[in-house]
Amino acid sequence: MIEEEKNCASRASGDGPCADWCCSDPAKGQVVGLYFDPPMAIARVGSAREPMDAYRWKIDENPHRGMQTMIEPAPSLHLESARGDGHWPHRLVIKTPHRITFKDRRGRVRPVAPFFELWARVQHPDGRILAVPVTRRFLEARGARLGDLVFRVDAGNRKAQSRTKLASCAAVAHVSFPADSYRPHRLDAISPHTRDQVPLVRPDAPLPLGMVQTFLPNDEDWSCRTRLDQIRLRFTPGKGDTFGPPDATIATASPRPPGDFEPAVTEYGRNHRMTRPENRILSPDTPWSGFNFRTGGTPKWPTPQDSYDGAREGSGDGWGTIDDTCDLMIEATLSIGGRVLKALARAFSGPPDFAPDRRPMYSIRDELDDRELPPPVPDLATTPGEILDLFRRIFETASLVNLDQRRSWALAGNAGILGSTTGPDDADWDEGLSPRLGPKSMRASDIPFAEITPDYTPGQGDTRVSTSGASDRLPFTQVVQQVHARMADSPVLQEFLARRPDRVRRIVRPPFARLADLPQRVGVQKPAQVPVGRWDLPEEESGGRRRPSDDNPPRYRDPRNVMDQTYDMRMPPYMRHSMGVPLSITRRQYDLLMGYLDKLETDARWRSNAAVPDAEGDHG
Amino acid sequence: MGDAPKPLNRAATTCPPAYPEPVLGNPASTLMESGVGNCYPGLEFDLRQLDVRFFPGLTFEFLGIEPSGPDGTQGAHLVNADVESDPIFEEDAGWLGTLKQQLNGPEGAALGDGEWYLHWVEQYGKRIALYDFDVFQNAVHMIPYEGETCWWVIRSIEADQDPDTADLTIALTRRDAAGQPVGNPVVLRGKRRRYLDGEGMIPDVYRPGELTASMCSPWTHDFRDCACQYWASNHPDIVLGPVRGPSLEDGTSSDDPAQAVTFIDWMRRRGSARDVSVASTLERARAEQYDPYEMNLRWQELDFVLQGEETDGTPTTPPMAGLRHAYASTAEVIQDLTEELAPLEFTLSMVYLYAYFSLRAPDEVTSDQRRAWPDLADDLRAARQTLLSVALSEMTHMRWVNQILWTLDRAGHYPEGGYVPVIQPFQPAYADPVTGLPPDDLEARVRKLRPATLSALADFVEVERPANPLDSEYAGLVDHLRRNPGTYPPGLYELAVRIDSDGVQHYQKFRNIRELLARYEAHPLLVLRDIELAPADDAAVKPALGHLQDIVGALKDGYDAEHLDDMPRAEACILRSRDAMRAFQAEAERLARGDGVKGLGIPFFALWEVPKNAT
Repeated sequence: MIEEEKNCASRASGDGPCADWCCSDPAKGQVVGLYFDPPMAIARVGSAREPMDAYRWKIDENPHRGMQTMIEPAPSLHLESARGDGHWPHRLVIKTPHRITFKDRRGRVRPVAPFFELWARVQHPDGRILAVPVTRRFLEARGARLGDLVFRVDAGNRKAQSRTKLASCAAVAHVSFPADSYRPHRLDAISPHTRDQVPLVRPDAPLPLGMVQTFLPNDEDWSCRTRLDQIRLRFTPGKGDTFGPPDATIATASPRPPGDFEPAVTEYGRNHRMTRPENRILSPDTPWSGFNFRTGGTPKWPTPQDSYDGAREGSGDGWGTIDDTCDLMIEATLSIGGRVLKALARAFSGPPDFAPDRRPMYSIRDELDDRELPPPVPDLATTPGEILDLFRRIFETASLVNLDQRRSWALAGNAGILGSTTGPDDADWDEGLSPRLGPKSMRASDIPFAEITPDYTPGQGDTRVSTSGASDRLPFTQVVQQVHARMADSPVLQEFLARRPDRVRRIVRPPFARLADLPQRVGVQKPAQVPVGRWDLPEEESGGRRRPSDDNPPRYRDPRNVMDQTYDMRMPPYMRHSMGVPLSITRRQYDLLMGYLDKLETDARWRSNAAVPDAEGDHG
Repeated sequence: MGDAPKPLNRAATTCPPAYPEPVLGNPASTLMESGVGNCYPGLEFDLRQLDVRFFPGLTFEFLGIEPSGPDGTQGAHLVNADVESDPIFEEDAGWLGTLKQQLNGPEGAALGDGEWYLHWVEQYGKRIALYDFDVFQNAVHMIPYEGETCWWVIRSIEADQDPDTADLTIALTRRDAAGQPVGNPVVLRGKRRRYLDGEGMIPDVYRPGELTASMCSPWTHDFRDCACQYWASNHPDIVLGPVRGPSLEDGTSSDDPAQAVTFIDWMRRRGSARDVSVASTLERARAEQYDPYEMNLRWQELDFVLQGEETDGTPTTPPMAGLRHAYASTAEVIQDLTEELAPLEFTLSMVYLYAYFSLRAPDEVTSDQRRAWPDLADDLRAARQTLLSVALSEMTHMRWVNQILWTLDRAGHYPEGGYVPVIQPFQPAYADPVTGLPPDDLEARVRKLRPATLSALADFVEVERPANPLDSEYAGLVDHLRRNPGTYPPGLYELAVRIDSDGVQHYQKFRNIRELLARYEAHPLLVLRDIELAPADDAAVKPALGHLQDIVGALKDGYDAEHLDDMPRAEACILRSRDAMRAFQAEAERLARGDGVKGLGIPFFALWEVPKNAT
């Protein structure tokens, strides 16, 4: 028995089963592929030296807080200097903090710096393919050295380039190093340029997009599920700073609310420093300085076009600023036995997640699932849990939304889109429209959409702007929190969905259609019928009672139809998609919810079995 | 540290919902589940960039409108057609070979000359043109859709699951100076690109920097200035302020009655505007928020938020409810729910409703009073909405207690007789056998219908105070369910926890109402209506009691229907009860206002009083 197998056998009695790779001989099997786990990860900016520790989501077990998501500290990887002086090379050790802190003592945000684990797929003589951590010993068993494994990291910030359409306004960094090069490799970006071009980022003053680092193997401390000698690469993002040319010093801010423009007058709002002196390193004489989206002939993509510092004041000339965020690709290349194997991963550096225990109802994962997966099929084993999780995330998002502000903003926009001649605050400018789009939206006359909100807000009239004072706080916001907190509970949600399926069909804003469901021309051909009852059990089998619907709510919206771009109280109420139209859940989430309603309505098994077991599984 | 990669597009396989777990060392905020998927300013990356390369070999841009108005250049504009730089053509599929031939042949040559725009796309037999149309003197005029509309159409193309079938056809045309399509179209057949490869990564045809290229520069620009607000889970609109000093078991302030109920603006400028309660419009909120540019250097002052409260980190020791009284058996649980908790909820909802109707409505404040007491109308509006929300919450709790009961019955836990809906108040407190007077303790006082005086509100605070004997009833139920895993149907624990946690919120709300109304202590008639409790046999309150009877009858029918899994009847009953509640509310308001005479309070409990001449 080799040493590792002995170790494995001695540890298998720990707190859980060992990983499949644990007891296998690292020298056996044919390597058929490499991959990173995770394949994509988000890094988050911050200027503190110490990165954020690891944490995970879990259900809060404190009954006084209700069943909701919380975060708890998780085993974290800390760097330990092999020389003992804090200097590289570092090895990784596991520490579990007793609490997560988001900033250091000086108030600097701790960056999120993700690790990427390198794995191999190994095929054994019996045909099984096993995922195995790539370690120094794994490589040596195959006649390779750490130095034969080469990382290449390419990072880019192309924000200025996407507006000016010039590569000389991009900031790109490339580093390449073997796996036994343990020093931090800085991603110092410069602008690619030809002899006659002025680079936005000069080679002598590069833009710091962060760094990547690998670590000395730690052979001492590993379990039968975790190896600290596994090859890992860590990306630490930039600090989140703004950089500009020397004249990007002090600017006068528009006093207008977000989304509004300051008219061209000679005096605006307050003056602010926009960059630190040491960050005024960009070339001033490039097309990015003074770029103006209002100028004819400038590219009208990406949108929105007013998305740079300077766009909202005066003539709209840009200050020529960029930041130190980026997205990057990590490539690992390994030559074994004449074969070249590659693994790829991506990282994105973005802003901090300032409410880390509140999850988006419409996440990046949801968007990618919506684009990639086939339409969902309701499954009694999984669908109740998925829908409950969706409603928990809806509550988590809704709990931090200012619905009163959303409503007043969205209803004003409706009046602009549809050309109200009497202004957005005329209570009846939208007379005859349903759902209501003016001040009567979500009020008693917004039938059949509004039901309980008018009852819960007795002091509010039919006004666009809710009455909310220092003590009278955001009436609509209070209601949405109260209602959605309940919907995050399995028995309440399941009962509501089973009892009022038509209400849910009506009240949830449908997503935009699939291409094949769109009418060829708006207002000419009839829209495709997307029937209720697609997932019904046949009546003879279920004794199901399909309730006749008194209307047939639309199952999708059409991006070409202006009425589908107006804001109403359908869920999520008044919220805006980043493409400037009313937000909905994804098509896939919507289809699953509708399928679940069909099942709950017509199949007693679903009603009796749909309550989701309590999350921790030990509460009865 | 998993054994296999975690592709993003795995179907859900777990029930109950399990949280995705990051690899060793990574916080949950590295996960794609932590990022807002929709999608643009200042966030992790712009998912719209995927659609720029939706068709193999081609790159588009979705051009918007010129500042001077539509000039015919808007729409899905071809940036380039290039086989060599697209790794997808290394894959083995027949349609890719054909497409490669087209792009390397006459079609590709045509696309290399001049400006081309996407004209139509066709999938599964449906052809959608990227042009609107109008008719002038019997001639059809084509109007190009602007870029964002075109993007939505492209976004709606489905990922066909058969890798070998070319299910998507597109046509590109050139345009004349007026934006009209001209010349022969180039028609290409293929598939919409898959946006994730087999390892769960966005494929490498998207170059580093490409997926963030369209985002704000700098990121802080729109992080402060975006009007979208779809990203509250990462960028909150509203929060509760930090707790200074001791906290309650739910984590809110023990000392400050306003902390748990006052929303403050997360984007407020730190230092000068620490405790500003949030405004209901963007315009009103603007002055106290960080400015553009200012944000670039001060964004690290923004607070992190856990469970809705600003904080510097996770709690060191999460407060846990202590153990409460235990039940010996399920029968005891059922008995307590039936005889104590359901009547408790109903009684409290009636008592709080009575107090609600005793408060003046904002429109009853005279103009003289408005001048003398500028905050009075706002305070009344706030107190009424809060009081009503607690009363309705207690009604909901009564429903949940019944739901627990019928769930226990359906699971075979009822000893005998089966579930019968429980909608009734406590019996009046027993008179002291010695003095003959009813007791004057808290438990007795909160059974009485009283106006919302400060002393009544003080009792409401006390009855909802965490660890009060009444409050701890549910903590006991929670403990019992926690200690008996596998014994009861799923979901009961959640219901008990929800009722328990609501109790802490009620406590905080009542504390706040009492603080609001305490300013008018010397002038109680500014806030209270001049009402008296009507006798049970007063003819004036008969209609209201009739409505209440309708409510109770409809709820009983509804609960019974749900118990029997007859959802259509349950829904009809609940809607019937809601109509009755609205009629009841209107009548109660009318009686309480008085319209120039002394107002009347409705003796809600008269429906359950035993007639005096009954044996």
